[in-house]
Amino acid sequence: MLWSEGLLLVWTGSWPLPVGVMPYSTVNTPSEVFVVLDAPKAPMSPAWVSVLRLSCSWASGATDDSTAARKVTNALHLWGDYNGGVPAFTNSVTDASENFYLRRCVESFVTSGVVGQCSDFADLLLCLQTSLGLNRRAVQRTHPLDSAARESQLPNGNTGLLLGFQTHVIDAARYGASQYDGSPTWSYHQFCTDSRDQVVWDACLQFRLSHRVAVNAMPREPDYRDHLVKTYYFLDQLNGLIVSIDDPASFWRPTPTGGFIPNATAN
Amino acid sequence: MIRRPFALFALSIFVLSTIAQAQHGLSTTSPTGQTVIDGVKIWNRGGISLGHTPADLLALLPDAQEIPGYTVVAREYRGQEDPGTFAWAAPFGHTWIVLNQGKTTMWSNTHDTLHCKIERIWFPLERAQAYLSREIPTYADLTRSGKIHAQIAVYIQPIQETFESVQRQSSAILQRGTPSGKPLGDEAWYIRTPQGGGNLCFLYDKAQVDVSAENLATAEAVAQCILYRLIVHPKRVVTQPPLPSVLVEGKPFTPRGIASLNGVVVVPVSALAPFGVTAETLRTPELWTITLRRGSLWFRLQAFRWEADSSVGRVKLLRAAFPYDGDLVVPLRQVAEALGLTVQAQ
Repeated sequence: MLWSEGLLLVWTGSWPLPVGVMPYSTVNTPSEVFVVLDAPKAPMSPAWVSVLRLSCSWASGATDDSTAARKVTNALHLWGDYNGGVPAFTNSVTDASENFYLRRCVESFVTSGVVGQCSDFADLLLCLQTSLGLNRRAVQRTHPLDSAARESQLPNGNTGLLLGFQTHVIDAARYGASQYDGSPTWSYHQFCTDSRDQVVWDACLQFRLSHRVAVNAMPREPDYRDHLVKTYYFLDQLNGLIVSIDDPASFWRPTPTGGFIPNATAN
Repeated sequence: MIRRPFALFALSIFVLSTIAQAQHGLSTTSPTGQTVIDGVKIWNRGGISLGHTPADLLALLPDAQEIPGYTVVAREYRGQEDPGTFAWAAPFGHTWIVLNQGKTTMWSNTHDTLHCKIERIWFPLERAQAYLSREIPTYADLTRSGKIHAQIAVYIQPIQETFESVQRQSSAILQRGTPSGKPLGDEAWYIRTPQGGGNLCFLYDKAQVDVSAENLATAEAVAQCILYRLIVHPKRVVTQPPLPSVLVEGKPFTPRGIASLNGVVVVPVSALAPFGVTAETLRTPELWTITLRRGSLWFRLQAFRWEADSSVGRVKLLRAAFPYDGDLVVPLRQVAEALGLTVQAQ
């Protein structure tokens, strides 16, 4: 099937035509034909040229969903810079939505290499994957952001407010040594997920430090959770003490349940 | 055949005219869209103009060569040698400016409010050289360590963000204040990495600043330098804080460049010359040191360092010395009193 969206021409092949970019030109207008696996999905419906240039280049040659997803995830991890956890290209953040300034994020990535914090990585990865036509993708956070939803009963019976969690040793993007590697304490983490199969893609980090692969289709529970979370930290709201709990399952509440699609904007 | 002296003369004229053209281009309003001038990549979003030119924003950052031991490097397109770089995104530049982005209404916290932004990365000299000579093959490898990264956004109106609202959106757990404990702007916070580096952010009036480095003390010194540049900017891009009335040796002291950084009065060292203070500057690509002398007393500072040596021993500075307009800016009272001058501030 050959179809177009405005000036963008997208080929979705019914035979095994691999993902890629084909130069195409009329007399005066050089163009690009992006070959993807299926019609792009939200939030990339319609897909953006700047995103297709990245996704079709990185997933070049892929003829199935899992290969395409793995290629773009690894490429973003190899070439994208994590910023330490500072808000960059997202705002208006709630537990079920956020604005993602996709244009600014892509421009930042292709010039300085900086993608942003985990939410920027997750949102950009979502856009890369859905631009290729991959289905059921969404982003999720490790737990709710709202204070009221971060309360839990502590072993001493008091109410604790989740402050954050310490990770196991990770290699933060980009691949290889950087100042953000190690075992940081985060207030939350955001990742890309399959809303039905509950597996995770995460280009922001990798767990196997000597490999050049990010988190690809890893079962969310228990694998991803147990590789990511080492210790939860709570504020005991009765006595003001910090309580640590070394159980990755104790406050693992992927939020929202089915994930959400950020509002990707060109503003 | 072109004779060599003539060729050098012609080259000099070409370089000077290129620099002049570049400076002219940076001092005027950029056209809507994308332009690259002298390694500075500019996107004018075409929103309502805030009236800032690229040169106005460049004045907020230390120059490419003003941080001793560091320089800027324009990313290069290297084809398959650097698969993280795309031909369609070239030229990449070493400094990035966004003009007139966002909307005039504050419907969201930060990003959609009308603003201008500048961003620059400095690299250690030896790593920059290794990248240019292709010993470091990819830009990703270059940025892996040692860099200092600064970005400044100047908004149309005072920023409404608070520490709490930023923390809510930040996946990192932020430390309120600064690594040194010294106040910085209206609000500041930082992230410390296990290796001693991290990010330092501050808000001041209409400006939001983020500096990251592998040494947080350096990041804080650069951040202080940026706060100063915001305050003394000739276009008054932010509100100038009140300056106390200062007397040196009993006389009113109002030199060009005097400013108050959260209550600490700083001045360019050249302002002390009328009081018999002489300055010896040692400046190389790796070092910027200035030794001030008055009689038998002396005071030696380095750019972006928090300690100084003096005739009475080592001194911890209230503000790191930093460069501005070819001069070093220093905390007035600390330096002047160490040189035997009296300072009164009200």
